[in-house]
Amino acid sequence: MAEKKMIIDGIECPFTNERNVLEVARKNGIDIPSLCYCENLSIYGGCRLCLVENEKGVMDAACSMQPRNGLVVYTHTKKVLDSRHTTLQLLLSSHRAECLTCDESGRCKLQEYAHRYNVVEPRFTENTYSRAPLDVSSPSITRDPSKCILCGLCVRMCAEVQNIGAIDFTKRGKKAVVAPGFGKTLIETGCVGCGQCAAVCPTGAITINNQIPEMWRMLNDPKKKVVVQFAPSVRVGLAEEFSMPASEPVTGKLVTALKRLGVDVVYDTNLTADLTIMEESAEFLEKVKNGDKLPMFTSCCPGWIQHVEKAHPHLMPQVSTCGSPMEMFGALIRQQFKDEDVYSVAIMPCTAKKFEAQRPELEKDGKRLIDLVLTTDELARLIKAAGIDFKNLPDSEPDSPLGDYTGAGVIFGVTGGVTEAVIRRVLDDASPETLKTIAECGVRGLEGIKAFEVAAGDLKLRIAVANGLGNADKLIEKVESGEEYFDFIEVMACPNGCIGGGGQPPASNARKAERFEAIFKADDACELKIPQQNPALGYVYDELLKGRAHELLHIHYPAHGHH
Amino acid sequence: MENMDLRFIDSVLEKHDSDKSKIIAIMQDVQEQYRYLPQEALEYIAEKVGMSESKLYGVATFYGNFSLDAKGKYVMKVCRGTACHVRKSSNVLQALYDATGTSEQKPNSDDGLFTLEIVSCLGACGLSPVVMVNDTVHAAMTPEKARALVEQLKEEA
Ligand code: SF4
Ligand code: SF4
Ligand code: SF4
Ligand code: FES
Ligand code: FES
Repeated sequence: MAEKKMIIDGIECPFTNERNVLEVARKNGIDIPSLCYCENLSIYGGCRLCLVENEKGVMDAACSMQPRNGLVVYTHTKKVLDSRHTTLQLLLSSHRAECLTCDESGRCKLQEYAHRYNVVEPRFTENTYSRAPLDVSSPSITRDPSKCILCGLCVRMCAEVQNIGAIDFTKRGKKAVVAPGFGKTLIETGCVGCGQCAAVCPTGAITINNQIPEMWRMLNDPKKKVVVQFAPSVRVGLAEEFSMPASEPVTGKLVTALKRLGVDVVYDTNLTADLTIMEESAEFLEKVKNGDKLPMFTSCCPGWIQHVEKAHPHLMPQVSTCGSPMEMFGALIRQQFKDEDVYSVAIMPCTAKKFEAQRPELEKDGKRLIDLVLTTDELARLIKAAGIDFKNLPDSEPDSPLGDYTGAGVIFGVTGGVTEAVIRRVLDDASPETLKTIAECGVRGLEGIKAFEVAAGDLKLRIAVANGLGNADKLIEKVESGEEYFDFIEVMACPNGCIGGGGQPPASNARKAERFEAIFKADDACELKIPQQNPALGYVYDELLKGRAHELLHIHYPAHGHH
Repeated sequence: MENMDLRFIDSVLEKHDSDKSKIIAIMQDVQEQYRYLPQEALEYIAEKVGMSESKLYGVATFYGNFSLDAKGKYVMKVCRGTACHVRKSSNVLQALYDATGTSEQKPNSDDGLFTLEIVSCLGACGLSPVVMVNDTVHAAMTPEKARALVEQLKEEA
């Protein structure tokens, strides 16, 4: 079949199966503004900012327009520009535009478009922005209705991708507000704090709770020993903030940057990802041996844990009791620096970790394991605030003795990574052939649900991997209806796993695919591939934990029940 | 709302096959029974038809006819449209507030009998000033007639 083409602004634009004219234009280097469209969500067509004009002078929304061979549209005629101007002016007339102090400033699409299309807020009419209350109930995100433009992206994200529906359009006319039902706050809903709504929100109406000032206070307190751990996917989420390609991990520069910020000790959470695998594999094999109820579900994602607690509490006993890698490193840090005044910080791709860190169960021997969680995004801002030229930094290594890790730890950052690491552990063979077989067993890839079988000795294991809570719910439905059987299920609440976490700089699917690539480059760069090869394990188990491994590395949430 | 009778809600759900697409009809039936949509009922319905609470709340708040606040047995809509205003509807309103023990800030009477609502033009300007009690129109109201109406309703109740 001949190549299909449409003509945008007089330029021939080839297309294949793009969803709409907007995608065709963007693929061909023509940016049409849009406020209510996201490639991963259903099409709403409500903001009218993406209007384009056809040959007959008729305007229509590019996000809702099917590409056709020979179709002709124009994206910046007088009519189109006038319409954009009016639309933006209308939006600004009900928006509390306080850009200077807004957390979204610099990345806000409304701000960008207002500037790009020369729109100013109409001066002499009363601004009708929503006076509905600020919602600060969530430890992860803040909702500010006064900055909401009612684009509905968060609503669709939470309902379509996460299958939660914590927020929706309520009331109507001037009183319309996107909010939980019955005047509830987020914490009273099924919200798990995944931050995906904040990632798609084009304005400052949903933002991630900013704890940067707290970090500065501690960095500048000479009495505090600031110990920082950073998660696997942080190394692949930071690059683009500093105009570097997302397809390369920036681990070495990240360590240097943390040191230059004044952090006293820098650790890589990869070590406790290895440790998680040791504990989780043992727990799993034990369950298999005892004939306990399967599948066993993974436990490292706090969004997933909250979802089980809120939506499927009866499944909680099947969720592993392993603490998350963040929790485990917190425990090691407290043992390593027993009597010192340590401030324990975790840099995470995740907004739900801000909640996890505050849970009462994450306190051992009377001390909080994690004092502060900063997102990848907050770290990028911190680095910029310190005037560090990240791109040109030399590389450094994490501190010892807790600085070692294997490739099994780093792949935790993507969907399927935990499972691949568990399989590496269980097969107990680091030969290139075995590693290749594992990589090709069906565990890798960004699909929402993967299901496959692995042979481990005389055991045949049915395994499933889901990312996005909507996909997890689909899987659970199949398991509960008896349609499918699995021994082991990995769930990450965020689409694509932690590389797409709510705390990462928001990214397109293409960018996330690059991050995926970068994670496996980081794995390739590791000499050691399977967790049991980690040279620090002996020190960790024999000297730091000394018989307290289970007590310190496992977390029993109330819904886990008694064991 | 304590101890709500969920059996009634169940019967409504059953009548409509717990069908998401019949949610408006379901809410209408519930509102007819309670004169408003109790939160507990909506939460229960959301779960039963498989809708998120926020979505159901969104639908309930989209239509002006649904009310989420408990209402008295007699909902009195006092018209404050132009025609009624010219014929002193404000005096009628004040008389009703006084007789029922309500106010603009507190539209429900303590005895649970009355809810006062201010509405704009009821489309019956020829009969102004107009007060609507549930579905009955009372025309050419005066403060005296308003007080008498309240007394009569109290007796009937
Ligand atoms: S949401 Fe955007 S436009 Fe609104 S105040 Fe914040 S930065 Fe400015
Ligand atoms: S944080 Fe996640 S669960 Fe909570 S409202 Fe946003 S998308 Fe929904
Ligand atoms: S909160 Fe943000 S994403 Fe949600 S409707 Fe408002 S502007 Fe859109
Ligand atoms: S992006 Fe097309 S209408 Fe909003
Ligand atoms: S103004 Fe009262 S009925 Fe028209």
